[in-house]
Amino acid sequence: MAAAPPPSPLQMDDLIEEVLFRVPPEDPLTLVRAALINKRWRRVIHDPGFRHRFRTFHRAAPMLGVLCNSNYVTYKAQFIPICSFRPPHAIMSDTNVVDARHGRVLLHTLSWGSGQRKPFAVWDPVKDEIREYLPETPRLPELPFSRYHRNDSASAAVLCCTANNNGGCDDHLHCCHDDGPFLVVFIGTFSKGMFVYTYSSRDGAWSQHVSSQQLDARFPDTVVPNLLLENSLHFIVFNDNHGAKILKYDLATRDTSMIPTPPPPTTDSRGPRSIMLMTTGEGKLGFGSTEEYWVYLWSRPQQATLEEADVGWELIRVIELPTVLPASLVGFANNGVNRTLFVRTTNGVYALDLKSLRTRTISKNNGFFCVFPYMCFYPF
Amino acid sequence: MAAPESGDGNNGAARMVTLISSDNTRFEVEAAAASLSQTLQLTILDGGGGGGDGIPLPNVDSATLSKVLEYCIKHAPAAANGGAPNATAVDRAELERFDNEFVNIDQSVLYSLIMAAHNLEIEGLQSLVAKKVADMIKGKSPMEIRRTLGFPDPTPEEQAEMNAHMLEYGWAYE
Repeated sequence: MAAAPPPSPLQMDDLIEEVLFRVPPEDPLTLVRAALINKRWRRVIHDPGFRHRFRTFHRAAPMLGVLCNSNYVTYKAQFIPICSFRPPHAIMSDTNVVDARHGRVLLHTLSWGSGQRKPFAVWDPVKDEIREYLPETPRLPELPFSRYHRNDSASAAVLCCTANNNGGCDDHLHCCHDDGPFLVVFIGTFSKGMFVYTYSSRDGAWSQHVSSQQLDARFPDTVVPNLLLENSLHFIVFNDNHGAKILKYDLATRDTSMIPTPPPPTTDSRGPRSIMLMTTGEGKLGFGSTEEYWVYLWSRPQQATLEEADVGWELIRVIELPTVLPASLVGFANNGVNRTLFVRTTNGVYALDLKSLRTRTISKNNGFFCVFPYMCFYPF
Repeated sequence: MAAPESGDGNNGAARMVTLISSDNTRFEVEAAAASLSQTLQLTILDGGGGGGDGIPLPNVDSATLSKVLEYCIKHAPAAANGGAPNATAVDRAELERFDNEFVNIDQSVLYSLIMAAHNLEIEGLQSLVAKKVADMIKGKSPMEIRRTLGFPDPTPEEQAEMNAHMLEYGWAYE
């Protein structure tokens, strides 16, 4: 009995998938090109089931690039690629990045100057489209958010709607680019206290929570990255003496609370050169600060109850910067597998992997105040 | 959790099974190694493959089976340790070296291994050979990928279709 010649293994859907699973998510270029080799491969790659399995297989969304704003007079947001993906448009003129999370980029636009008064837009750099121009905000922010009123200061955050414990997409592997609902939180201070406006893309409207609580601190004049941990957003704020504190906003209860920042690491400390909110390897609130050539990493175990004593900050790690020049912390990324600190020297911006302590160059340009990691799967 | 063979009293000598390739070559191998195959595992647990019976594998030729078993024998001790949490770095490095060397093979052999690993459901080997192919296509153009994988050059219709889709993903072809 003559056996039929075996079929080529790479013309069988299961085996094509097996191969494609092994293409790193940081390499969408290879997947896009593989999708072109013939009808069968194209069908496999564009199948929604494959997309789901690919993301589940890899679990952690890749960092496709970082977003940043130029320090100089030009008002433009820039996407800097760090893997094989290239956005169709890397520069968005007349906008600044305010936040980026779950595949969405929150831009502050200048378009309201032309009479539109729509200061925020949500951009998808991969799909190359503005998802939405948000309706006029009840308070009009200008970036830097406050120039006219000393008491006014603000920041803003974007996140997948279902991050707010509404079920559905716990891991954010599948929400980006799928036109899933998102939330924008616009938070700030004014003469009478604090305001928090929340925009839900489901409702298409802002809702308002004004608190008469006096903050006794201001959001920085230049937007710096905030941190989403569990169900709360964390923002760096400064009091009149330039002392930094952390403002915690609970998305579910809408309560705000203040958390002190860690003490100076040494008695002869001259104060940190730069600070950054982060998460620890155990998923707790973390804080990074630099002095000279050293990065100090702190952890803050969460109080289980209000009555429980606050154990405060614990210095968990000191890293000697591998850069030749003194560096500032300008961003932080965590995809559940790798944690990355972004540091800037006069020579450029670097990503420091906190596990391997390896650095890679992000940009030779040092004219960025901070960077916002853009982490999501390429949408097939 | 296979119970040790009872009553043979031969001081724990490993139980052997016989596998028979499509071209009727018989391979005698430790049950623990053959059990890396999910497909074979149940048969072996049921006591099959011992003695003169042997398990016929009509889809795997002897050259491929011998290669597959080389992999299984090398990986069986680590697998028996449940993923070898207590394996030393040296052991792991040695397995990695073996794996790298193992897939340094002709494409036809690689393809036979892909099929065999799939049919026999040997998870580690499936992963290893798939990773090898993924590495082979990394960063290549669609045409280079076709040639790397041994596909014939596209027909004019296929070429036209490729070109049309390329336009859709302009960023990938600069």
